[in-house]
Amino acid sequence: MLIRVDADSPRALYDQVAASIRSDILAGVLSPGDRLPAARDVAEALEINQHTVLHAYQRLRDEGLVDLRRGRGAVIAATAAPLAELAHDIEELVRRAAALGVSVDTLAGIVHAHRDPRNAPAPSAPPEEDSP
Amino acid sequence: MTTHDLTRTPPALLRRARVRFFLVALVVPVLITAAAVIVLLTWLPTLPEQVATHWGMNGADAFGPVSVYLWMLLAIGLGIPLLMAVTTLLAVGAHWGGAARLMGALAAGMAAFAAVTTLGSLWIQRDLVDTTRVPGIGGVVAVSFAALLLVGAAAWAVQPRVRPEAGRTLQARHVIDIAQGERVVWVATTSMPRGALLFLIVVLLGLVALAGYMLGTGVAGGGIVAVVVVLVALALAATASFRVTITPEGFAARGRLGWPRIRIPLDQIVSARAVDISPFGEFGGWGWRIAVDGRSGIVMRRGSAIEVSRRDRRPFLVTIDGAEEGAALLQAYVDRGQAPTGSASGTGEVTA
Repeated sequence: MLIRVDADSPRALYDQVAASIRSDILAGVLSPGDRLPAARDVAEALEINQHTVLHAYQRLRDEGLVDLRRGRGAVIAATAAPLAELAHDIEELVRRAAALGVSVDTLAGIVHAHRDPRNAPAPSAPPEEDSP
Repeated sequence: MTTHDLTRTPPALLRRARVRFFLVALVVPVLITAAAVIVLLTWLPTLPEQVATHWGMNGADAFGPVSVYLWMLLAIGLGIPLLMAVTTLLAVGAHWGGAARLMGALAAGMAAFAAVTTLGSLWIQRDLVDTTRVPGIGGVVAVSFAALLLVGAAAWAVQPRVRPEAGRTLQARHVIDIAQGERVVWVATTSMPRGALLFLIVVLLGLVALAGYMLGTGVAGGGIVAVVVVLVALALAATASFRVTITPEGFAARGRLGWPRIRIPLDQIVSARAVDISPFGEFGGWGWRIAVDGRSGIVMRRGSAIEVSRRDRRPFLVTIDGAEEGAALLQAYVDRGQAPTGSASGTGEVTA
């Protein structure tokens, strides 16, 4: 699992860690059922705080990409599988946007704005619904 | 080292190695043991009813019927060599190497050892009237080990030398770029295959049951078995899985309990590559290993591995999923460290 962090970047560290893991899922390096390394190990390697890594893991859980279970650590969720299927489309989109001179940030903004009005009430399913 | 695919064992050599292995590891033990059994049977009339079966510090201290020797001969002279031969043939497959040759030599040596020990122990007791006057066993033991070494060496010599396939270099899928100020790390885990782990756990449970039984019934040696159980369990827990990290500081691998561990600082690393390795052919088995060619490493399974070439020592490697990516990152750090601005080796050319 490759993780990139730039301390000088304006982007929050936890967000950078989450983005690295997301792109590993996208690239198929991580697939459902794979266990993420312990937050302590990742924090040690990155020389950042352990809570920052946990924050990233929680963020990914909120996105439905990771299951966090006590004692078992962080595991890539089954719901993360469709992400790898989108990998090709996303790459294509980014490449075409770059060719047209549209920056990645602009593209992300458009995607974000596009999603929100259409189905605002359900950005992510609350985990409690699964248990009964 | 660019012609890895050309170093595959030629089929003719592989077949010769297999035939010779079959002869020394199967045919030789059968012949030696059969001959020893025949000799033992012809000696029967000359042997006392009860023969010495064990020698302590003060001479013979345990006695039993001659059949004890017959079973020992069959178990050590035939059973163990057969077991070694079959497991070797199953594990090696087409990846022949020094490890298989050694197993073949040992199998033949074991048969000779068993035959000489058995016949030697009985020979010194032939025509013996008083069982309290059994001679010492020292000479027989010495001759037995000599036989093991001699027959083993001969069996080693008659087998052809097969150089194991040097690991095939895997193509790096992508070069990893590291931006200024960016910290890129690679964190991954390598674990024992589930089947192997399950097998070891079953063995461990068997030992636990044995220790419990021995301690419960007061059989001597229960304490030793219990200690062995604890040691095996600890070793299993410590080495069943390793966390591998690649950072700007270098390469590190650490067992689940924090030990064993290895840390290779970046300035000790010459290069890193991903290779495809065969545990038995190159390393003679699984675990924390040292290969015949001096490479060492953590070998959990067949397949992709990160190989780290070190400055003053032999390469170290670890089998792991995604080895291409990990090796590419480590190589990127090595390249960065060797960039002109990074090294100030005093040739005067550096103008920083």
